[in-house]
Amino acid sequence: MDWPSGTHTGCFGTNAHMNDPKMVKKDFITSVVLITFSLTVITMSYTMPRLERRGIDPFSAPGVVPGMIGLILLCLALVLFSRSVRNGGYRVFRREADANGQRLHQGAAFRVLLTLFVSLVYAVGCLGRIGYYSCTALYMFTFICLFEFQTGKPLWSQKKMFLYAAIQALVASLLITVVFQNLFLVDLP
Amino acid sequence: MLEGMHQFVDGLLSFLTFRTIFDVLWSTQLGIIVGMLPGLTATMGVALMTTLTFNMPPDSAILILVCMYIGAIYGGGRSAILLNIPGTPANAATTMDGHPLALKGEAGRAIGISTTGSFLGSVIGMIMLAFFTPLLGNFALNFQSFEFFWLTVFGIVISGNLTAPKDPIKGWISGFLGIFVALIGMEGIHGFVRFSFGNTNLSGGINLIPAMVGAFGFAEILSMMKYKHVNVIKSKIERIMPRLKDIYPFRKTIIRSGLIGTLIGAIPGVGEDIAAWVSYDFAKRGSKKPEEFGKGSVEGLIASETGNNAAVAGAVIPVLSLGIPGSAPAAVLLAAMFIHGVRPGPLIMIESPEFVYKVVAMVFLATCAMFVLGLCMVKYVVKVLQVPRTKLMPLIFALCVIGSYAIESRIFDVRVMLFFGVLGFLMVEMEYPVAPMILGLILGNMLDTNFRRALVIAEGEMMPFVSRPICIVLIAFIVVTLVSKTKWFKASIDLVKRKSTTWLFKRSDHG
Repeated sequence: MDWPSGTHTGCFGTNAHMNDPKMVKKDFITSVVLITFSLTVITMSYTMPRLERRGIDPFSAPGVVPGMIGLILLCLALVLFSRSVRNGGYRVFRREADANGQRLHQGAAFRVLLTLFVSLVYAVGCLGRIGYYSCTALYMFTFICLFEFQTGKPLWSQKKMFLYAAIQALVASLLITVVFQNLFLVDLP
Repeated sequence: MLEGMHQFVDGLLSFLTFRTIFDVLWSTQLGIIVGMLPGLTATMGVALMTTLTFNMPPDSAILILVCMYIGAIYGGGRSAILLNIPGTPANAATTMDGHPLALKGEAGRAIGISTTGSFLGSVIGMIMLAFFTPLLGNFALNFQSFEFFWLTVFGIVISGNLTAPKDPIKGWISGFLGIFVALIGMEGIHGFVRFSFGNTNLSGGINLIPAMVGAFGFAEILSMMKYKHVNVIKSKIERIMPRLKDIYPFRKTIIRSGLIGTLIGAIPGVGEDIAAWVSYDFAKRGSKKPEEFGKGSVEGLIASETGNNAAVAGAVIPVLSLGIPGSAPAAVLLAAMFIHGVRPGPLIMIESPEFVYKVVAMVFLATCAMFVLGLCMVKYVVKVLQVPRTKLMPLIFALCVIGSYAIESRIFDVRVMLFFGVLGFLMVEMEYPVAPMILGLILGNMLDTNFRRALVIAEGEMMPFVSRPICIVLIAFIVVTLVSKTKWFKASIDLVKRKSTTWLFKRSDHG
């Protein structure tokens, strides 16, 4: 494949990687985040107490290494930023004309977001508020049903799936609870 | 040397009890199953197992983790052969020739060959582990803060380079981000709390195990749920027992791949996947039939499987001798050693040399178990591949949650796991490797304390950092690693190659 003229590949890396328009946009966004982050780290490290009152050596001040790491990150992020800008990564809101790819991408994003949502509700919302066993069983049952439920089919024809999901959820949660509580003596949340 | 042999035999004999053999067998088999299942990596398996074994005696716990590690790296080859999906990233090279063999109806033969290759690779790695760990450990006794500082920088740079070959900047960013995360909490010299924002949990620092469970467990769950379904096994498995004629002709490839695998495994934070690819590449270059590679070459399959399993033992060499992990699962192993009160690093050859040989004995036991289990019950074990991900992933997530919680009984660690899971997923999406971040998380404190201590010793002078002999060698390595990825370096190498070829042709014309 010939790369279009005017593509900047920067000092490091391969052409193929940096010519992907989606990756260039992603690089632009991450570089902006990283620049902001590293500047914050540098500022915080600079303003960190140097503990002169304790009479410690200024070279062993707690902010020395974080400041240095912040500077390194800033330099690397600037290289990434300049490279992505030169390749048009700043046009973050321009859509690619690939309907099939978009649909596929949306499906994948939906599944990821659904997994994330259910898992966060379980680990952040329910854990510690509801009993561990019921909470875990409920999570497993919900997870399996959400991903195995077929929207085109009537509910009653999928009763087997619900039954198996319930059995797995109850048995697996019981096993985890017993193993961690009685064998590893963990005080469950 | 003889003393080492004696300690190895002592270590081995101490493990020869019914209970230990039972532990070896179940943990290796579990490792094979974890490795086989796409989406469950060796790192995730070892990290989850660390949470399950933390109240066991140290020797038993570390033995189980080693068995899990070796089993998982081997087990990943099965799904690579049968499904064309590597069970762990270490088995990606195995798909190249393993799956074409399965398509020809030789799945059983391919599994037998990959088992033998993995076994021999692991044996070569084990011999190198026994030989090089004391040497490297004794050499590292010369290291002071200056050398340790450069060693950590070198670890991050080379790990970033090799885990993100397309764009090394992302690998370096990932590594230095990991170092920053390690700096959160109370620092080791003056007890000052950094970047905690008044949060008492953060002031204790970020615990490595929940971070790794998140980055390699939860992130993997999110990545796996992206895809709707994975094709299940259709290949028929017949004879598995390897034939001598399949293995003997490739003895040179096996030895070469074993040595390459161990060497690459020993490079900080690089790991088994790179070892397998480099071994595969070298095998292809040295092969009499390179055209068969990618079409079901037995030599290619042997090379990748020997390379990745040799890298396991290789990755343990820097863990024991320097306190620096060679791969992501080895990083968990290192953390587990700390949890169990073992202090790997340069002083290990003075404080507890017998532990080094005990680890060699553990690798030996795990290797034997892997070989036996790898050739038995294959037809039944591969049925695990038919378990749908929708049923498996909630179970894995529940284990990730309770595993992170169990170590210190803190909900905060569950949140750390979730944070690193989401971060790890985003990083993979943006093509940032996760392994250097974890390496940075481990090396962060070492870099911090050694850099500041060195500055105090040198009274602020930078000269000792660049004038001590070992420092000069390490700096040279870092510079070469950095420069080797620049465009002008590659262009100059090409130019030199072209010029030398022209010169050689001219000479032969005149001659």
